[in-house]
Amino acid sequence: MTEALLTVRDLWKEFDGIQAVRGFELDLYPGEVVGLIGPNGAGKSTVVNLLSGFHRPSRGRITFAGHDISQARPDRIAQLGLVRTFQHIRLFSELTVRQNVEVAAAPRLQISTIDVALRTRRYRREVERWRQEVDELLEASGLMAIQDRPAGVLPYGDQRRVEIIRALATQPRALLLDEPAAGMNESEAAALSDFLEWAQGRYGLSLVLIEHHLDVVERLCQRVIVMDQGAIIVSGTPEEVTQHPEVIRAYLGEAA
Amino acid sequence: MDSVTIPVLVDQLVSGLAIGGVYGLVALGFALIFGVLRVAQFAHGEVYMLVAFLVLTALPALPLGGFSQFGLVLVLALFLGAAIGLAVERVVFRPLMAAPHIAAIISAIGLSIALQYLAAFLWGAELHPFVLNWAPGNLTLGPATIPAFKVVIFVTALALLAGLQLVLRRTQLGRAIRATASDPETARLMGINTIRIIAAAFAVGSAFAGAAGVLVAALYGVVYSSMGIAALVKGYTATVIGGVGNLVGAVISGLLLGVFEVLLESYVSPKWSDAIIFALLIGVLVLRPQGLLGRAIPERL
Amino acid sequence: MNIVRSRLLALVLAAAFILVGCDIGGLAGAGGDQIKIAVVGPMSGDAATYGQDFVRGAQMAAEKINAAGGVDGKEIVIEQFDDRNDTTETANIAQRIGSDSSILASMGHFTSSTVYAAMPIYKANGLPLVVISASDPKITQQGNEWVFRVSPTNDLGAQATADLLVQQLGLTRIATFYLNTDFGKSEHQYFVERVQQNGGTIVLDEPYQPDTKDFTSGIIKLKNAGAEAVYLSSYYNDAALLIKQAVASGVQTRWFASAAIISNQFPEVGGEAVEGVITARVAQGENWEAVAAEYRQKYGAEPTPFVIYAYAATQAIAEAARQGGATRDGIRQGLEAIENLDTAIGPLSFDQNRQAIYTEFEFLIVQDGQFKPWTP
Repeated sequence: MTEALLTVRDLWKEFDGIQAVRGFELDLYPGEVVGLIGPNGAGKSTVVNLLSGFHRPSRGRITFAGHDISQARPDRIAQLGLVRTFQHIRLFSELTVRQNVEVAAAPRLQISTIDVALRTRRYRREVERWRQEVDELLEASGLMAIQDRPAGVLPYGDQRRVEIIRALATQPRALLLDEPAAGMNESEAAALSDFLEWAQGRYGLSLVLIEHHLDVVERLCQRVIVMDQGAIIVSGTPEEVTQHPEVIRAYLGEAA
Repeated sequence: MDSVTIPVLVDQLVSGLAIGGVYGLVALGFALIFGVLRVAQFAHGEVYMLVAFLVLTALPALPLGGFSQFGLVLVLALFLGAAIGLAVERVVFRPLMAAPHIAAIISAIGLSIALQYLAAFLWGAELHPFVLNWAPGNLTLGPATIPAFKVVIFVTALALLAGLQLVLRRTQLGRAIRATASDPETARLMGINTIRIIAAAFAVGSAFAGAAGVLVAALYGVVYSSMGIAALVKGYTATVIGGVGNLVGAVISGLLLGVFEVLLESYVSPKWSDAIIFALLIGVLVLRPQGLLGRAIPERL
Repeated sequence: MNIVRSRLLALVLAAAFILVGCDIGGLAGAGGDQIKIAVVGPMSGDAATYGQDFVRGAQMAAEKINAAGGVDGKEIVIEQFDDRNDTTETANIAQRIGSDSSILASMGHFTSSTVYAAMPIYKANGLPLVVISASDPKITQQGNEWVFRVSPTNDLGAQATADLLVQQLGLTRIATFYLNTDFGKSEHQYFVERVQQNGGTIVLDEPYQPDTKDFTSGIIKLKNAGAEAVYLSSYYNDAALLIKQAVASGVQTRWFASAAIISNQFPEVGGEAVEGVITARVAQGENWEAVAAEYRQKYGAEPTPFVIYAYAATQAIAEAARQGGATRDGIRQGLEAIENLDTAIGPLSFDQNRQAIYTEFEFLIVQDGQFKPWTP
């Protein structure tokens, strides 16, 4: 068996006396898609914030690609290849769709100032490769047609997709998606599932997916973790989990 | 009240646009730095003052005369401004990046005062005449005769502003600056080296302050150690009115502020013009904190 | 970091010691063998050169008097104070001077506004003040028996210039700019009244705020006012900038200004634009010239009138201490008694309001970057 890309052990987070996360554990393998579900306030977003370095754990250990990132800064974690999106969309709203993606892809250009100044062959090759990457992402996400519109004025669903492909443009090894389908209708959510499936296969990504749309979760995830009141109550395949009595009571029952 | 004639009005508008162009340059630099740093660079006016003094000191050594001297002075001012801006960023702001914003703001205010004393110590606290050996004379615009230099200042300011817009819209650096200004945290997550972007914003913003400094020195014919305060106040006002984070808004409101000021001084009273402008500033801060020309800043977690 | 910090600390401590040391030195000398005179004015900021002039003039006079044996064996000591040309700070400083019993007389406060702020405080403390620059005539019309003035009032120069313009030069359409302070407003008022009495017309009447550097709006009005001459109730910086900017904007007229522009800084800041500017001042006799020559030798520059007034004020205070005794009230009474005292400004007498009497005027023109005598 291959080694886990992301390992979380005994993760705790306390805010002003409230235990938001209590003993969270996770092994995320390369190419694996794990769903994280649970009622509002279960601690899912806090877990994402802890994994991405936005919060410091009260206790526990997070390892990513062999590095201990329990205390690392967000930018360092992102550089290692663990990238997140936000529950509330945070685009560079003044930039166009294409520019949002380009900005994220640019730091990986293998060129120096001299290359830029002299327009060397390497510069042209790198810029060409970079354009193709951006084109491919825009094409696959169906955003090519609106690539020159300012990101801030797009409809909600499109902004979501821009946010995800912008994250993809950084070439992460694992993505933490915080409710990517929130606010979408059935068909929009289905289109998003198609896109995520494609991206996951194309780049061999690992995904941690927080989602309320259960059809999205059932379709994409090999494994689902259910949280309630900060703790994991059950984990398993989507089928196992959705039939678990405690889940039906704590989560699905509530939704029904 | 004096009668308003077309020549007088044209003269007033051109004068207002000239000084407004300068306010726009200062405001743009201030807004650019604020955008990426989220901290007000209260020593921005002193960058403008120091550049004016340094150029004044270098003036006798500049070999050229006429228009080429003006060009050379402008280029020199841009470079000196950039250099001072980089130094200020490195020495004052970068060490405080992790500290609360208030620490950086207080340091900036301290730096502003220290630089004023430094200039007064090095050059003296009195007024120093600043004269370029290029006098473009007067320009006839329809029935009005106006000093050509004011048109030159306005055009120079617009050219610099247009140049910056081009850089911000067309280059990678420009996009990275705009991305950082839009959301520094997310920009970092996208792998943008925001430390370098902040330094770049300081260099560009301070270069503009430097250019504004020599333009004003040439317009008023004088350089003095406390000149930065007035510039900062006007630039800050233009930034707030234009909407913090809105670079085009900062420029437009700088221009409008210049015209508004000349008209106030002419038709209301020089006594009240500053008071009215500050009342406007406070009004905007209270009633429309996103600025007259700005969009609402989206609520963030 | 630690090294830097400890060096900084050392520097601050050293500075503190120097300051304390100075103070101790000052106190140690405050015995009965001294007559200590406070010289107050702007020692920092835009107008700092005026404060420097005050100190230099007073110091030169004190050295001369001390070299000749002092005042009945007592040495004149000059101590300088900075009022920053600010009315609030002036009130604080005047109170500090007034409550320092080692100080027997004070001179200075540059502007009429600061003098007004200081006057009641001197009276309350029973300390004589000799005004050496502020020129509002009303200062000595307040019935404050502790305030004397050796410098001339601004009505005299303004009126002399108004007569020159309308009666001698036949320039009747006149524009005025004035600094919006006690000094500017009062000088301007005397000028305007005299022009109108002489049958002239004021075609533009434009105030400006202190510290103005941009005169654009006023200059545009001036361009369209059809003035044959302009009169400025201004200090040198404002006047030089205003004229410079007006000339650059294509204004062609004849420029006249208050005597307050007389300073090396005026042609320095104004450059070629201020060539030909004319001002009126009180006539300067042999004594004046002698002090000026000494000043030139010592400092390598032309003295402003304030150097001479400070010099004369010091002479007057010394004489008053000789006649009335080395106490605050003695000096006040001694000053009141002065009659035709031989000073740097010539024979000094005070009128019943304790204002020095001036009768003769002369005109100056800026030529080749210097003020030179001019006759119409």
